[in-house]
Amino acid sequence: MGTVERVPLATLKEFSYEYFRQPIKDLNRQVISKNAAPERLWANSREPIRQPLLKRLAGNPELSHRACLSFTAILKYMGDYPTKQAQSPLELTDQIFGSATKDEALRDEIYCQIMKQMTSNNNRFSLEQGWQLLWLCCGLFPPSQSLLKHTKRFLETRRREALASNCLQRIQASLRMEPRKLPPHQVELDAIQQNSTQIFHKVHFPNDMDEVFEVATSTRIRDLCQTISTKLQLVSSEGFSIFVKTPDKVLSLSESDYFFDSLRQITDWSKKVKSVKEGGAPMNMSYMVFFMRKLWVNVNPGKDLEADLMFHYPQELPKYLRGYHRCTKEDMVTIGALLFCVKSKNDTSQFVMIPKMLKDLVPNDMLKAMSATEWQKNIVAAYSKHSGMTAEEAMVVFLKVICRWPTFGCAFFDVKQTSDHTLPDIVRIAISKHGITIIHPKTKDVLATHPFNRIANWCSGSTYFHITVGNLVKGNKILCETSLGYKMDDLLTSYVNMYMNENKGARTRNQRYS
Amino acid sequence: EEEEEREEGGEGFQKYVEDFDPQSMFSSEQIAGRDVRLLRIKKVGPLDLAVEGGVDSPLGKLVVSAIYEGGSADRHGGIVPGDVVMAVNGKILTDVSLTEGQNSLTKAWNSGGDWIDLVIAVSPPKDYEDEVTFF
Repeated sequence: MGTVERVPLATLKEFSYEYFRQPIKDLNRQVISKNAAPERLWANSREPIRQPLLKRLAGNPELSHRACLSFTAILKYMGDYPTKQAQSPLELTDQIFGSATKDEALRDEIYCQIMKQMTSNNNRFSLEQGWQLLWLCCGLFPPSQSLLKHTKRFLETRRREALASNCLQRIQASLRMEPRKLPPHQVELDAIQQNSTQIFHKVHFPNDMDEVFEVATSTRIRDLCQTISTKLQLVSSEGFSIFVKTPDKVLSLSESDYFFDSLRQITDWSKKVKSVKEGGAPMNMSYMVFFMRKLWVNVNPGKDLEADLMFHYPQELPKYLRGYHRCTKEDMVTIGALLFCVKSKNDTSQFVMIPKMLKDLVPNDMLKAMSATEWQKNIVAAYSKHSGMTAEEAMVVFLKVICRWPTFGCAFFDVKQTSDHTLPDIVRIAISKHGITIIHPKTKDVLATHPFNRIANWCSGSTYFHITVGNLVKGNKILCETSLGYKMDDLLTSYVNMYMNENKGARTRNQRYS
Repeated sequence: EEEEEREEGGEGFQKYVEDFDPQSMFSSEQIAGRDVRLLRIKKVGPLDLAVEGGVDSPLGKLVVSAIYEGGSADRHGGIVPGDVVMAVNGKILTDVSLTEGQNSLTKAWNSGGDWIDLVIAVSPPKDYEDEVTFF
């Protein structure tokens, strides 16, 4: 048997001589024994610290204080500090990483504190908890150049430990990208606490299906959209977006943000704000992640069957049934037959049920346009014209009919407007690739259309949405009282950004040829 | 302690002052036909009420944008996002900027006394649905 040379475990001892503060001699211990050794600052200790480890933080009382708090949280997380009140692991990781994600000056300090507690630590449980913290830390931000070498050595000499190699990979990845803005999300913490370095998250689709996708600490929204579109074999991911649904809001996530940063921002924010509808009941912080079409551009029904069935049909159907589109009675009868085909799966014995299913077949504001039996008679007659059609074919034909209408692919917002006396109090604002259309909610007359190049600016708050149409000096201002201003603002911004990016692309192409 | 607070809230506690006459403080233009109420909010912990807008904003007035859970405004229960803030402790806020309005609220909250008097114009109930959006 050959002897395997055991590499000694690297520590921060050498690093500490140059970068750590002076060790403090423990006064109490000195009384007991005159030749007490000075603190070994780089090695495990069960005492909270009263000064940061790094000497460069010493001059800053605020950072020093936060460094000491995070050390105590590390002790608690690793089970080395007796506490009366058990704190949730997430509260502790927030205390450990919260300040450092905000303030770069604290990042090395956190790395040093964790590695210190993992050095000469004979308690297996404590050490394992330490590995979890180091794993989380490596994914959030890298150590500085001076600490990087020592951190790598620390990990390389511990390759026998399950997480060491993965930590090294995470540091390499962190060095190449922007640091995370917020501490770990509950989902990330749950994963590593269950010894999984892979994180999975459920994503819902508008057709009531869902699927689980792998998301890493460094996954951006844009990456996740791409992963999902590839997995679903969509022709293009253009116009699709990730949405998070909380008890009182549906927010579209910005494509350049990290997935877990966005999630944390939304759930933290929702925890703070009292929902009006909640009425004092304890707030359930559940949320759902959705993948949906957000921008309706280049949507040609029939071109991408998967996208039509999973997204375009289930997203357009409720808008149609809510009566958002203006359409003729003939169209409604044709569509009624198509929707019957989808709903009944071509079971003609269900013809008799039509009067009972009408609200799923006909725009709900038009139910009274004919008697139930008349609707039934007309729909049955129309159905016979496209018999033999499968449910999937009927869904595509439905889209082919409505995509001819100018309001196809709009998002509709019913708002109260208080600025223009020529408009009704309540108006329906439709936002689409064409711009903003103001519609009378009862008659469905188009009252005004403002293409994007005529919109000078817009802004929103928790209670309002405001746009200026025309030029800023002699512009026409529209003020809406609505709690959905954030959605209108975001949608408008997304369409405008899309056009600006297109123009930028076109300009650089032209320059190349001129 | 918690229990006591709740009971007090349940019994002799008024959501708003019944005999308040808004005409005594505001012109009819300022009232503009809205339901203007005087609320007495007990100072327990922070007020935890956020406002937005102001006279120099597109909104043109000071509007409640959020009520944070557990704060005094939340415990009072008579104020919701969308309500217009008209006055605090007798100081009229119909023509102030957002910063001035926020300062007046903070000042009133930090001054002496167990209560603040807040005058609001109630956001009218919505007779249309606007909660769901289909993208």
